[in-house]
Amino acid sequence: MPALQATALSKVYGTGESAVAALDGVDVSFQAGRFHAIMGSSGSGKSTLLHCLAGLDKPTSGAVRIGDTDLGSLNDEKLTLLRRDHVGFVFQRFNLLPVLTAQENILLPLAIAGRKPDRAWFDQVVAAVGLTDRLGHRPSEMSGGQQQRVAVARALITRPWVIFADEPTGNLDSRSGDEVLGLLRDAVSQLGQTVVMVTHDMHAAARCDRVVFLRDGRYAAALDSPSPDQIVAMLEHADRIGR
Amino acid sequence: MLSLVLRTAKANLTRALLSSLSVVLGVAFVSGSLMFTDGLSSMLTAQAATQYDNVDVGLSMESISSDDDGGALIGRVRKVDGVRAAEPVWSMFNIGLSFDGGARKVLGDHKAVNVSADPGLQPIRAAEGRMPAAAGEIVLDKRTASREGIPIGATVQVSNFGSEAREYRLVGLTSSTKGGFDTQGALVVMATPDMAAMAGYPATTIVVSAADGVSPDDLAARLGAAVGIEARTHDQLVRSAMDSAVGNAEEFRNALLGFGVIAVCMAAFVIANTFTIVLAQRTRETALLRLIGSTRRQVFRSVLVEAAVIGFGGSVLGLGAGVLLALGLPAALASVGAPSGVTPVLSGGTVLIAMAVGVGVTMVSAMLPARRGTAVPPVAALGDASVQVARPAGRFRMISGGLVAAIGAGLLAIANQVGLVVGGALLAVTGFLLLSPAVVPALVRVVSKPFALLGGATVSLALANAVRNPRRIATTTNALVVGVTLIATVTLLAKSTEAPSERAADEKMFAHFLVTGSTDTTLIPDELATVLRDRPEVGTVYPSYQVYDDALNAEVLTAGRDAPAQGSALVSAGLGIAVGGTVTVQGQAFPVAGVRPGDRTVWLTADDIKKRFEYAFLTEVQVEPPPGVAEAEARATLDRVLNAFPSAVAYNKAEYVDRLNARMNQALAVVTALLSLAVIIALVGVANTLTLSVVERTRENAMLRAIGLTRRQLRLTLSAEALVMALTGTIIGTLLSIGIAISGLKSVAGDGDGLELTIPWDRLAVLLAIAALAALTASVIPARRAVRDSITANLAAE
Ligand SMILES: Nc1ncnc2c1ncn2[C@@H]1O[C@H](COP(=O)(O)OP(=O)(O)O)[C@@H](O)[C@H]1O
Ligand SMILES: [Mg+2]
Repeated sequence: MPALQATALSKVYGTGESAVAALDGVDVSFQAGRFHAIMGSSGSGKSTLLHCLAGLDKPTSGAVRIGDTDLGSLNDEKLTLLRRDHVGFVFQRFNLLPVLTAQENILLPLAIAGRKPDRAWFDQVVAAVGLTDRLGHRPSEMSGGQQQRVAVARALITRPWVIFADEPTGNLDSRSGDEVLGLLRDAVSQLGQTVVMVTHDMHAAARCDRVVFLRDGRYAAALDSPSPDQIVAMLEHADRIGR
Repeated sequence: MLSLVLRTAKANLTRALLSSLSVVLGVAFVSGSLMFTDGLSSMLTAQAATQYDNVDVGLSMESISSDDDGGALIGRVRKVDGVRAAEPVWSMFNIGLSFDGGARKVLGDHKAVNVSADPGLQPIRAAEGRMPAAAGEIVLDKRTASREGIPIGATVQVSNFGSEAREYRLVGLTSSTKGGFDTQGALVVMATPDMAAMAGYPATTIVVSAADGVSPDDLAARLGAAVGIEARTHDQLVRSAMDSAVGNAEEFRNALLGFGVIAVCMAAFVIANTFTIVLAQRTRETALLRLIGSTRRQVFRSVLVEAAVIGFGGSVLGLGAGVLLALGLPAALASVGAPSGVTPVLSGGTVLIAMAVGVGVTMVSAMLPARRGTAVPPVAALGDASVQVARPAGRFRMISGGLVAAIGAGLLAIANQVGLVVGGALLAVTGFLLLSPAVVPALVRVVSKPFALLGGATVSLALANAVRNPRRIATTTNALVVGVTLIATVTLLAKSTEAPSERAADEKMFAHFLVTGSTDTTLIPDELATVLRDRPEVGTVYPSYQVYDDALNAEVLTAGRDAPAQGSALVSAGLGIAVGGTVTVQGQAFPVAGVRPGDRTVWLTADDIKKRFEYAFLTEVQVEPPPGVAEAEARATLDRVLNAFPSAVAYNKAEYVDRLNARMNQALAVVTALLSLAVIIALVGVANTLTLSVVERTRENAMLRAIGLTRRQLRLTLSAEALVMALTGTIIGTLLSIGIAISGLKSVAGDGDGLELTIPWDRLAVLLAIAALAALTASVIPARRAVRDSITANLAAE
């Protein structure tokens, strides 16, 4: 069974003259335990798709299922609790609360839920992201790469069904970007997590198990474990047929 | 540049409205006070003028010459050529008024006047019925009659403090009132013969109506020449009455404006804080303007123009709110003596003042924030200015704050006069304000401990947010601190100086009933004591007298409780006579049986005072019913006797406590109400800060919502943040006020009989509860704003 499935997903922003169809009947599914990338040119609807999949935004029509839960059947409160307990997030920027230390930021989803952290799991996650000696620091005292690693650790701490990442390396230099990608890759390969990542970067996409291509808010194609060359070709192809 | 300012202001309409709300309140109070007191002034001057209707010339004597019995003088006046009619007039206070055979007493400081039987010389007209034409007839003011339910035709009793009560028939009602400030007292209008009999002394004023064709000026000159007394014309009389009426209204206005100044200062605090925050958030925008070539001066000017626009808008709204306030003020101020029925007057001057205050205060308050906030280097536009680094409070500020606070505290500790207390209080508060960026966050952490334990992660988050910018939270709570300090100091001082009423009543009352005047200033007739003593069924009677002994330069009082034996005395320590010595009062030597604290007072038995002094004022009478008589029965017996004394009222202890409390609590309530405006403005400041913080944390909050914070939890964090700010401010204010109150009480207690600090826990608890409630209310709008927009939109927010 797919971990995540979108059926006939549409999202229209605005009304009348100025209406923009950011997503237009997207059917796509994501298998559990794999590292997925979503690619497409700017404005093709990648972020919108991610937001709808993660239950951050309501689609105009169509359905999203995470596991066997239909997101459309949940009210805001239930949706929030689902995100809190079963979904992890890594955004491009501003992932962390400036007033909290790295440790507090990592434990935030559990703290909000009022749950005690599993000590062993916490140590394992912190060790995995290499932050053991930075736990007491605040975001303003950390580099961008370190901040993103804190964000990955926070996404992992609840052992979610799926982790969503929107251009997590977009703001990083290439070395830090590589490290963060490595962490996500390991989360899938070693911890059996499911990750869905929006990216522009074909080298990042090349490390994924599967790449979904969007064009003008529509599903265009998908490639399994593609090489960078295949990705470039596909993007060019997508562009060409777009004209 | 101006269009840019206007566009910015429009884009930030909520912010603009928020910053102007404090201006609105401040301006509303100032303009409302002015409108009300202008109305008061015109009402009082109108009253003053009508008081001399139909009077062409008035003669008034400084005192009554002993060889003139009044009759001769009025006869001489009437004979002067050009006098059509003349009448002696009295105006008497200490009047008792009752009806229903004396069973129902009208409480209040009443005034009695008389009118001529000649309608052409009556300054008062009857609105219903007619004016008194013969002895035994009276007219009352309509307000009193309808409040008490006295119909025309009813029999009423009127007494003055020296005379027995007499019965009169109510023949009419007038719409004139007693005038002046007191709203309770009645106006009693009687015929001249009745008044002459009641007064028992000749009138010091004669009013005159001129014959046809004689001008008041002429007549005044003729009268002056003929009787040798200063005669004033109608116009002169009216003018001087108006002058004193305007003076009264001005005093009232100045008192109100004192509170207005406090409100405006609070508003200034809030505006300054708002501008500081807004400009901090606009750092990038400002830098961009600088980057594309605006000079710093241009940017600074544009902020000031923005302040002027906000101030102007606030002033206009404030004027509107001021009208509502002016309409509501009479009701609120009635208990401190403002007359009811004042119609507010909106004058051009008030409009100008309101505009000047609103625009001026906003611009001045924005000045410093604007200078700091526009000192942004153009490169800031390129960096990531979204995470602002809070400027730590300067060393100089901390050191000077510590010094000022220490001097203030020292002054408070040693103060032995009110001036030093006020100075010490000002210094202590100023010092605190300087230290606040360090002190407030520390205190917030302490105050919030219990909440954090109770509320879990959500609340801890709120607290971390609250103290993230120490300056901001300090400035926000400071306004509250000042407001609460004012209210709490007034409350503490009032409650401590007026020793609790129960204690006062306990100290005074040793018998079951206390009979006193119907108001605090009404005197009771001397014969009341005699009459009560002649009626053994009422029980034992203990009159209290008061008289001043010029020879001794001391007050002579009846000793109530622990009275000395007949023929002996108690003296105050200030007289310097020891037990065993003697004190000579009016030629009789009294052995001193005891010494009490105090300055210059001698206590004797009631009988000794009556024997020694010809005129001693009867201040009150205590009555102990005969043993075995039930309360209700004793009460009925006593009241039957008191029915003949309209100005005397009997209280048991509980009733007397109520009366003492009522007076004090009313005054306190009014002052508190006026000061609470300052606190409301401070709470608007809390809402302001919170709203702006929410704007600033849009993305953070969206991220929190994304990772699983529910809407309710997000609202809770904001409520907790507001609550902690409000409680911290209230607690600091209360602590400061306790210090000030202790010092104040100590300073007036100078010699011996010290006043203890009474902490009215109930009131402080109410204050705290109100602050908490208001803070929760203040967080509603920001919280709604925080959860309103979609998460994705907020995540993308700049
Ligand atoms: N909140 C919004 N309001 C209006 N249009 C939007 C909004 N968000 C996205 N869009 C539009 O939807 C389309 C897809 O946007 P997005 O999903 O952000 O694309 P991508 O992430 O692939 O760059 C774009 O044309 C964008 O302009
Ligand atoms: Mg995007």
